[in-house]
Amino acid sequence: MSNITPIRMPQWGLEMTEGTLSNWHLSVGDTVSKGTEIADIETAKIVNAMEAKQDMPGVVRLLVAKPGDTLPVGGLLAVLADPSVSDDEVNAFVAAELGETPAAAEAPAAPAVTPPPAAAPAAAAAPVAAAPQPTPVAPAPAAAPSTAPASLSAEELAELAARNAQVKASPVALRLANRHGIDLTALQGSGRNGRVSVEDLVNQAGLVLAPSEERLPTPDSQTLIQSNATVKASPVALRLANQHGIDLRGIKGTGRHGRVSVEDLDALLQPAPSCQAAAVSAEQAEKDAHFRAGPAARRLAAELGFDLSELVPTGPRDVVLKEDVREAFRSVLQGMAGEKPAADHELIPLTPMRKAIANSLTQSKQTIPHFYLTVDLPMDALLALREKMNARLAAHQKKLSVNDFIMRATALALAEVPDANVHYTEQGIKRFSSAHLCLAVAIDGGLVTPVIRNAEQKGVHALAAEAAGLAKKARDRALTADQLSGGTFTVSNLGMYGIRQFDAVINPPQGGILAVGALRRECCELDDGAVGFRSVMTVTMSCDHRVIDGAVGATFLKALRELIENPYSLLG
Amino acid sequence: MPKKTFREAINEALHLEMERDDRVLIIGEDVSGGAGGTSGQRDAAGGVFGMTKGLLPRFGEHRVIDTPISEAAIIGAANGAALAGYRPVAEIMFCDFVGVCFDQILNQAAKFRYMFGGAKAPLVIRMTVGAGRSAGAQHSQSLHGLLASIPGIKVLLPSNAYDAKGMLLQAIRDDDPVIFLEHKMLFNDACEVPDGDYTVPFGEGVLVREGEHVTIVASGQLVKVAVAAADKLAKEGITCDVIDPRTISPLDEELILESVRQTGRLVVVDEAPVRCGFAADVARLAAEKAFSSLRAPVLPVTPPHTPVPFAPELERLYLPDAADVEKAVRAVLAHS
Amino acid sequence: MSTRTRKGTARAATKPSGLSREALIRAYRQMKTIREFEERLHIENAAGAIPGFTHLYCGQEAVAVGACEHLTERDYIISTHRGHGHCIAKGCDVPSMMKEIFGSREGLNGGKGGSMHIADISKGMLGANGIVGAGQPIAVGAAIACKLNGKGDVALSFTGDGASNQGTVFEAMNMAVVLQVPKVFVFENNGYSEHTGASYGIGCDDIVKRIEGFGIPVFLADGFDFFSVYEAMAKALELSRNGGGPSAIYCETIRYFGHFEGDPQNYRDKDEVRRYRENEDCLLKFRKRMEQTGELELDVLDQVDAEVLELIESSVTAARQAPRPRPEDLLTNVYNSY
Repeated sequence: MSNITPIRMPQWGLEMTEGTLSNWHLSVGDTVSKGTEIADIETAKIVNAMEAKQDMPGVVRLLVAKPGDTLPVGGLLAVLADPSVSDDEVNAFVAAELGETPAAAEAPAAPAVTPPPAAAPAAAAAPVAAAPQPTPVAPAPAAAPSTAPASLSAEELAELAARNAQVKASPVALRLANRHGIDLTALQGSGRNGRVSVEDLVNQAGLVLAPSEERLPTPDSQTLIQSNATVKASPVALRLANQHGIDLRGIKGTGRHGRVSVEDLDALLQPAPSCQAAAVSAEQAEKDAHFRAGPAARRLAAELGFDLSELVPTGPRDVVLKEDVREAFRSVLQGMAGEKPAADHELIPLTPMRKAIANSLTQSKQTIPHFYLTVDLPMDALLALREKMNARLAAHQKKLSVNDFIMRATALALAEVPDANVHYTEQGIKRFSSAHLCLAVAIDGGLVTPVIRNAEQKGVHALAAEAAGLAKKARDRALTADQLSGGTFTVSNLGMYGIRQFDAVINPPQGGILAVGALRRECCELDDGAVGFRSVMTVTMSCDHRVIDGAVGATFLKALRELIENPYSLLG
Repeated sequence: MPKKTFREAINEALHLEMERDDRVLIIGEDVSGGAGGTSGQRDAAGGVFGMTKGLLPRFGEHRVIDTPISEAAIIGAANGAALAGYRPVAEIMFCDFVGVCFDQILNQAAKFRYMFGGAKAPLVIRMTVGAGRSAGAQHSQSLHGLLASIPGIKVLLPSNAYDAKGMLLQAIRDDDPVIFLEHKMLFNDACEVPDGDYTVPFGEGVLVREGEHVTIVASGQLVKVAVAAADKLAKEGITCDVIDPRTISPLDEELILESVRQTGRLVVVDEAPVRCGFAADVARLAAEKAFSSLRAPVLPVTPPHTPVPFAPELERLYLPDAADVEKAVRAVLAHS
Repeated sequence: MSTRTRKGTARAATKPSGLSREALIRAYRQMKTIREFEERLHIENAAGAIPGFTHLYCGQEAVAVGACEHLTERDYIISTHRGHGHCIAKGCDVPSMMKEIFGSREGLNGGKGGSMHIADISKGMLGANGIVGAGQPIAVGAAIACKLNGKGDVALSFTGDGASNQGTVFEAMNMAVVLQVPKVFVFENNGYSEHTGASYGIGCDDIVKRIEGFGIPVFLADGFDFFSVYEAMAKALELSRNGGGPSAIYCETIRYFGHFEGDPQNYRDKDEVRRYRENEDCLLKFRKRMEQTGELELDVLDQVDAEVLELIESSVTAARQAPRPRPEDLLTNVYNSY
């Protein structure tokens, strides 16, 4: 087993716990050397290409994860091995990694559950292989419905069954294999004593397990079946009659020896009765299997066509009760009131990024004692300076935005008032000497906050260039983990949307965040008492009262304002 | 293929294996019989149920050992001979007598390998079990659950002659201590049994009937009872998987779970009262590992919490019958 | 009335024993090893280093060694809960034993048995046993095997005065006679059955009569005298090794320590142990005899003493440092295969 090399979900950044495989860059048979692109992985914050960090031995044997799969950090993505390593070994390695299937995952992991098999079975006294089992396995008189795939003829199915009978398999696995046309000789047995188990059918042959679809006979059908058994009919006609609720007593038999044959039933055979609707589809059953719902609730939900996840559980420990299903059904009925209900919404699944935002900001709002300080920044001087500077930059197709200056001012103000440049931690307040500024960048589907490090050491031009670069990378989902971590303070600007003022939510563990509004003209009193206009911009600082007090926040804003009012202090 | 009775199948297995392997010994009370008798006839019994007939004349007194009535010494001796490299097949006439030699099973045989860091004790202890012939409370018990709860020993309970022969051969060849239980009501049941050598692997049950609606797990003489109930229900279109686990420890958990995950309904039929017994353990298994598949509670069909009564009509009441099984199946079906 | 009235007569202590130098040194070494092993465990146990229960054999060394010096690796013994002495006497590895008692995974049983189950099947030591009276029937089974093997090997069980009342011992004796197996029953009456004196539990007050009642010839020995036990055992083996069926030897001896370590021994006269240590001790007796017969120089014995102490010391050090069991060891060796 030591010549099998796994490829595992990497960890990018300390906070990453899981990732989603977007698509593979590898195929089976490829070699992987240093720098080879392996796959695109999406995390809460970024989508990035995973590259091999060194040459890997062997060739790709199995791509275990599928695009769209979400795995925890360290989860098995793919397996490499030398071509000489057998498929059995590879499969066994993967099986060992993946452990039990979800359906069996209810078992606790306690070691006391089953003793593990000893390392080496007693090969010395190997018993003679069991002779084919003559124990009677008579099929029930009412034959099980055959749901064999239409692609196999009856002869092929019979041949398959004969082949399958020679393979060591659990009796249920044998039954399912024959029913679904699965060739057991192609499978690796991982059940007891190496036999093929149902789990093997699921894992290796793609069998989708569904609870028995055979509907229960109603009292009427039970009586009918009993009565039909007394009529001379061919076995197939009998089965069909029982399945379709046909009373054989009313049929004239024209088959062998006067028995009822299938032809005699032709006229009467209807398409499958509508109570098939009650059968639970395989995918639905899979999904529902993980929901807490009593069996009665589950069946009623299936009958009424509800997804358990849609229902509001009111049972103890959040169990969906039958009553909850009925309640949902009543609402639907009320909503219908004469016309077919059109879908009035679409359900958009939560992306990893959305979930991350949700978690983080919920936590922030719930645990951090926010308070808000608002000032109006007089912008005339800054705007004039900016105009002058942009005039010179126009020749180079470059431009400085107001926000670039705001960032510069914020960085300098933080350097001046380090008490506002802090993190809250349980061990104490981390006070930073450098301002690592996060800027909030809206991207498709959410929001990211890349970091500009040591912002107070970078001039406006440098900040502008770096901010633009980061914003582009953010929109391309190409930010690295380093670029997303380590921020000490955030600036969030909704001015371009015309927002006059807003209160932002602090990004923990930062102590504060500056929310920047739109530029506006307002009427004001001039120095000489006359009425005039000025340009202002309202900014609000949200502060974590655990680490920043009102005075500190106010001092910071005072410094910021002074810098903005004297914009030449921003240069150099 | 020839038909043989359960008794004949056991006897055949013993003959075959003693021939094949010199280290196999038989030890027990009256395994031959006639020692010290006045008729001079040895092999006068061949075992009280005839299972060991013909072995003494064929293999001699050194390998077929009649003992005084000393269960502790019998099993103790089997333990010692096994540790010393032999493969003894000891007999306890009725499993009820296990009380007298329980230490040698519980604290000795079951624990040698573990306590001594790997010692091998490949002994087989054959015991008869089961009620049905008014043998009374001390000769009618089914102690497979009690024994299977002990880590370190294996417990087998074949329901037919074919399995009996194959499992006994496997048991003697197995390197662990094995308890082989022979149900006294099955001794005359016959079915097709191959002549030569074959074994039945442990931990693999069989599907004696197949169906869609309910899983029935049954053991020993109750397999037939479960089949009778299943066949009757099938006439109404209610079909059942009937599982004969054959070995109680190791148990074919996989087969039981696979079936329950399809049918969603489980009935367990067992000859021991449910408290802390085999039926309770199978129910626990389903609740633990197939909970989301279950559509109904698991119903045990077992005797009540009493000793086995003597009077025939009481004993009949005591033992589960096909009507009890049918009732349980209908009850689980009524749930959903 | 005391049951301890049967004393075997030892060969007069002034005559040479007839054993070779090597045999004498070996016998002394074995006894001394047992003594120092147990004495050391007495200290280690008091210091809290030993998990679980220990039952020490100090004082009874002459019985174990006197019996086992005749045996080969093909012969079997089975012991009691007080098994270290028998285990050492049968030739089991002393450092491995110490590791086992300390619970290391390198111990004789892999750390899974401990003091009460110490065993080495490969050396014919079928284990100490925590169940009183369990070993005797098992030894009958081993004796059946010996008989079938036809090489003249024997199986021994050791039975205390307490165990001699256990039904399984009676069954074993009867079975051994009925089946005529090469089994030697070694009865060592150390005066106490846990907290109860031997005189109380033995109804007929005479163990030997009972053994004889089952049809087993008994050879008496002085449990404090290696040579006495050795000679009695020789006679027993002559019978049992040569198809004469089961035999027994009976010795009276004393245990210096309690039934288990931690036993307050309130049932015992405070002076008793000191008296025995000073007047009856088997090691002292051996020395005295060597002195008198001149078969061995005392400084040879002193040398052995030093080597034994060294062995015990290094065994304890090794045991303390030996690797502990791993979590996965919990689940191993329940079955050969499942």
